[in-house]
Amino acid sequence: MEEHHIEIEIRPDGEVKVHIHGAKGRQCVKYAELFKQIVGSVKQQEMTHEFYEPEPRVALDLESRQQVHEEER
Amino acid sequence: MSAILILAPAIIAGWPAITAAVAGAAAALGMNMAKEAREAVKTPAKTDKITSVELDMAESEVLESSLTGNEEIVLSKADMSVRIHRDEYGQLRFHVDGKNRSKTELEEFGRQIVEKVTQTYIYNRVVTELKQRGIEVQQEEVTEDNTVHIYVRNILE
Repeated sequence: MEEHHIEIEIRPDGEVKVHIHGAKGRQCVKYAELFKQIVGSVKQQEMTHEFYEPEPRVALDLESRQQVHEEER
Repeated sequence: MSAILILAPAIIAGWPAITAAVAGAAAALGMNMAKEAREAVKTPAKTDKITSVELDMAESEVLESSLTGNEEIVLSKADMSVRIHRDEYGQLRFHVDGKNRSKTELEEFGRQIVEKVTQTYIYNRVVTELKQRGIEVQQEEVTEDNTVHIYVRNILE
């Protein structure tokens, strides 16, 4: 089970700042797409180190592929 | 923190959603929402000088499918009134009238309303869309600078 926290700031002129906490890689891209759909166009986007960390499922996939390759040898 | 986004708002909506945003903005700004307001400004005393300005909302589109032919809202406060309607290009337009007011004053007043309507519309849309997707709003607050903060949690199983 994963938990993501999002902080949304709606400024007095309607501009929106969204902080996404805990989501990595594709999950983060999905949130970005969702907020684009709800609010409007992206003016600025900043991905922090956590974004580039592998998602748990991706890590497992890589491990299992490695095992298959080793078995083939 | 894994990502930060800054988004420019766009209002693409049917007239009912726009009416809801205007009503919310009017309440927040202490304005009345009535047709009589327009009449009050349109029948000035002989010594009154009526000034008008027009403001548009560039990033807006009123969906044609929602129109019934009577799309106009009038707000008033003291000796100023604002008529909000859809122009021939489908955009929202704000016509501001004021008695014995400068154009600068009316532009400032109109800009304040445009911004409040935008903020209210975006707030309504964010909260509705998150709820529809089962994403839980945990806390909301409005800070002194009138920024609305919404804290949400999404649990993926």
